[in-house]
Amino acid sequence: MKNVLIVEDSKAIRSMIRMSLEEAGDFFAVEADNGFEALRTLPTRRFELIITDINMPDINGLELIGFVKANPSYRNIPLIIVSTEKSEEDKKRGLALGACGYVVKPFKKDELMATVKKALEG
Amino acid sequence: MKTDRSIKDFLAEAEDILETANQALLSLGSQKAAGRIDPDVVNGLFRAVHSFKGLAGMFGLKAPSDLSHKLEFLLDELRLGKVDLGQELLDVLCETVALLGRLVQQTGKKQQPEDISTALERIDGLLRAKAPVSADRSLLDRITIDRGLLQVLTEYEEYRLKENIKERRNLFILKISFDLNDFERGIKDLNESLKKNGEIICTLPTAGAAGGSIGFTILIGADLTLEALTSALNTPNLSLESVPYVEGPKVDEPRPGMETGALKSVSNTVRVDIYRLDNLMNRVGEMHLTKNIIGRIARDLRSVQGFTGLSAELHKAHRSLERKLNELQEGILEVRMVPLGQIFTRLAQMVRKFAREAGKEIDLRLEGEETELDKLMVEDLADPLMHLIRNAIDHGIEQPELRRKLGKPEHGTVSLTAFPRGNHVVITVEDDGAGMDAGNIAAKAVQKGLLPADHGLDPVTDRKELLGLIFLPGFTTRETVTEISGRGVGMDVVKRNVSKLSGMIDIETEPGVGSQFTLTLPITLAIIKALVVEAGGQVFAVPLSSVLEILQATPDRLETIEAREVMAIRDETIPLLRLTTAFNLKTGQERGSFYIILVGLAERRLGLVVDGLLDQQEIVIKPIGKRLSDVPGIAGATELGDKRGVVLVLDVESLIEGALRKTVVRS
Repeated sequence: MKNVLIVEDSKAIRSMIRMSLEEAGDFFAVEADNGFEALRTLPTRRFELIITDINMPDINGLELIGFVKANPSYRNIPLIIVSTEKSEEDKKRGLALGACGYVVKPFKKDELMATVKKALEG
Repeated sequence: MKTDRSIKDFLAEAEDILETANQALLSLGSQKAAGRIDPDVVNGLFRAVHSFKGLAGMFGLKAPSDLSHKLEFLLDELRLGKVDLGQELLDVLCETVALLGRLVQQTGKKQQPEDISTALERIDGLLRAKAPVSADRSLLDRITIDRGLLQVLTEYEEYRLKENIKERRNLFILKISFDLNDFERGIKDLNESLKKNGEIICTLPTAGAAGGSIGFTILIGADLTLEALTSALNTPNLSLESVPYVEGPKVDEPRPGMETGALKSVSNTVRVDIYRLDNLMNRVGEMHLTKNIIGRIARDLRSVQGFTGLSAELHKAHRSLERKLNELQEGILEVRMVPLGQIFTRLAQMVRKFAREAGKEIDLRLEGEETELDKLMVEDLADPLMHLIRNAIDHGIEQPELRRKLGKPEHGTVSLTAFPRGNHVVITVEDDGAGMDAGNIAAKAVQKGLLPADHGLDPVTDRKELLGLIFLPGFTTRETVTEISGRGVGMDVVKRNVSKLSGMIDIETEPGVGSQFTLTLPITLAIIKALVVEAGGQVFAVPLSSVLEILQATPDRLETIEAREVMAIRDETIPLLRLTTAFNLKTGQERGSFYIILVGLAERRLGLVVDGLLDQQEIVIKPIGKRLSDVPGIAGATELGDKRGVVLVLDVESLIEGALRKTVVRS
C-alpha cells in the first residue's frame, strides 16, 4: 500500500482525490486540511506521494513544498500540485521548487491518476 | 465531473463558505466606509470564493461554477491591486455572493438555476476598467532578503511584500521553534499576536532546532520598531531581525493614480492610528492647563496694574490663545469622529441572522447613520447595541401568529436611531413587541433572589426602579441569555459597557405595545469640561455635561424624607447625595453654606452636596488602575496641573443609580 498525503482545504476536493486513489487500488490516502496539519502528519508514516493545493491560509502550498524539499527525510517524496487556471504563476513557482506534476481544478479522475502514475514512476 | 456524493455534502460546505464570504463582505463594507481596508479580509473573501468554485466544479454544477469562476477572477485582480475597491465593485461583490447563495438554494430544491448572464456581464464591465499596472520589479531589490524565502512566495504574497516595501514599512524575519507534538497552539497564538501588530506576509516551515521539533520563519510587515514589536509579542525563544532596506532615506515616488489606490478606497485620506490622536488630545489638555496658568497671571496682574499696558496685552493674548486652543481641540475632535453608520451596517446584517434564527419576520429601520461619535467609542458600542437588538428580536417581538392575533403587523419592527443633542449623542433601540411589565419584573427578581419578597415597591409609582432591575447581574439567566460570538451577555454587561463610555441607558416600555432603550453618550471621552469641586477636604472633577444646575444653599433648606435628605428646588423635591458620605470622607466643621450640583436626566435627578466650587476647566480623563476601576462613582482620574495633583473624576451615572435605588438589593 502506498501512503499518499493530500493537503487541500476544500473537503469535497480532498474526498474526491482520496476516493479516486482508493478506487485505483493500492493507495492509502491521508487527508490534511491545512499546512499545519500536514506538518503534523508528515512524520507519522512513510509517504510515497504528496498532493497539495497551493492556495491555503497560513501556510500555502509553495511554503510546504519549500519545507519538504529542504528536509532530508522528505525531499525525495514526489509532489503534485493542485492549482487553478488563473494561478499560472504560482504553478510555475511550485514546479521550480521541485514539484513533479500538477492538475488543474476542476480535474477529472483520469487526469489525476495519470499524473499520479507519472509522479510515482518518475 | 459528477460525483456520486449526495448533494447534501455540497449544500453544507457551500453554505459554510458563503457565510464566511458574507462576513468578509460585511467587514469590507465598514472598512471601506472608514477608509481603511485590511488586505487580509480581501484575501479571505478571495479564498472563500476560490473554495466555492472548486466545490461547485467538483459537483458539476455549471451555473455556480461559472459565476464563482468569474467572481474569483475579479477578487484575484482586486487582491493583487489591479482593480480599485470602488462602491460599484463592492455592490457587485455583494450582489454576486447573494446570487451564489440563491443558486445554492435552487440546487438544493432541485429548481432551475436563475440566469447569471447579467451578473457575468457586470463583472466583465468592472474588469475592463482595470488600471494599467506599472512594472515594479525593482521593488524587491530594495531589500536584502534570503532568496529562498522569495521563492516560496505566491503571487499574492509577493504583491503584499511589494506593497509593504512601497509603504516603506518595517520588515522583519521572525524565527521560532516548537515541539512537533503541540506546535499548533503556539503558532496560532503567535499569529494572532502578529496580526494585531502588523501583517504576516508569509510563513515558511523549517526543520526545527532539534529533532522532534519544527521551526517557522515568518516574514512580517509592521509599523513598529524592532524593540516595540519584540515587547508587543512578549514571546520567549524567538529570534526577530530587521530586514534592511538597501536605500537609506525613503524615496518619494509619485504615486500613479489608480495603481496604488487599489486597496484604498479614497485617495486623499490618511490612515491615522487612533492612539496618536489620543496623544494629540493629551497635549491639548496640557495646553489648557498652561493656558489657565497664563489666565491666572493675567488676572493677578490686572488686579495690581489695572487694565493697562502689559496687563492689557497679556489679557488679549490669553483670550486669543484660548480661542485658538479651542479651535485646535475642535479640529482634533473632528478627526476622531466617525459616523455611526459604520456599525449600523454591521448590525443590520446581524438582524437578518437573528431574525432567521428566531423564526421571526423583522423590519429594521435605521435613522441617523450620519450621526458622528468618537471613533474609540463607536467600536465599544457595537456589542451593547447588538445585544439590545438581539433581545428585541428574541424576547420583544412576538411570533408572527401571535402578532396576527393581536392585530399587529406580522413583521415586527426594530428601529435603530441616532441623533446629536448638544454635547451628547442619543441612540435608541425600539421595538413594537411585547413590552415589559413592571410587576412581572418584580416577581422575577424576587424569584431570583435579587429582591426581597417584602420589597414594597409598587408597579405604578416605582415603575422606573422596577424596570431598572433588568440591569442587575443575575437577572438574565442562562436559559434566556442568547449568545453573541460565543459569550453569554446579560443586560448588566450592556449597562456596564454604556457606563464605561460615560453614558446612560434608559428604558421606556408599555406591555403589548413595545419597548425603547435610550442610550445617551457624550460625543467624546477625550477631553471634556469639568467642574472642579471640593468636599470633605478632597477635590473632585464633575463632567460638566452632566451638570444641570449649580445652587448655593444653607442647612435650613434641607429636609429629610424617609431617612433621606432632599431639597425642594422650585416645585420639585430632589434627593441629595453628600459626596462626603458617598466617599466616606470626614465632614469636618459644619459649614454655613454649601453648594448643590444638580445632575442627571429627566426624572432621574440628584443633587450632589459639596463644600466648595473651585473651577471650571477642560480635562482629559485618564483611566485609573484596576483596583479602583470597579468602585462605583469614579470614572477616572485627571490632573489639574497645579499642586492639587491627581484628582478623581466622578461617574455621575453610577452615583445617581446608587442614590436613587430605594431598596437594598441582594446581589
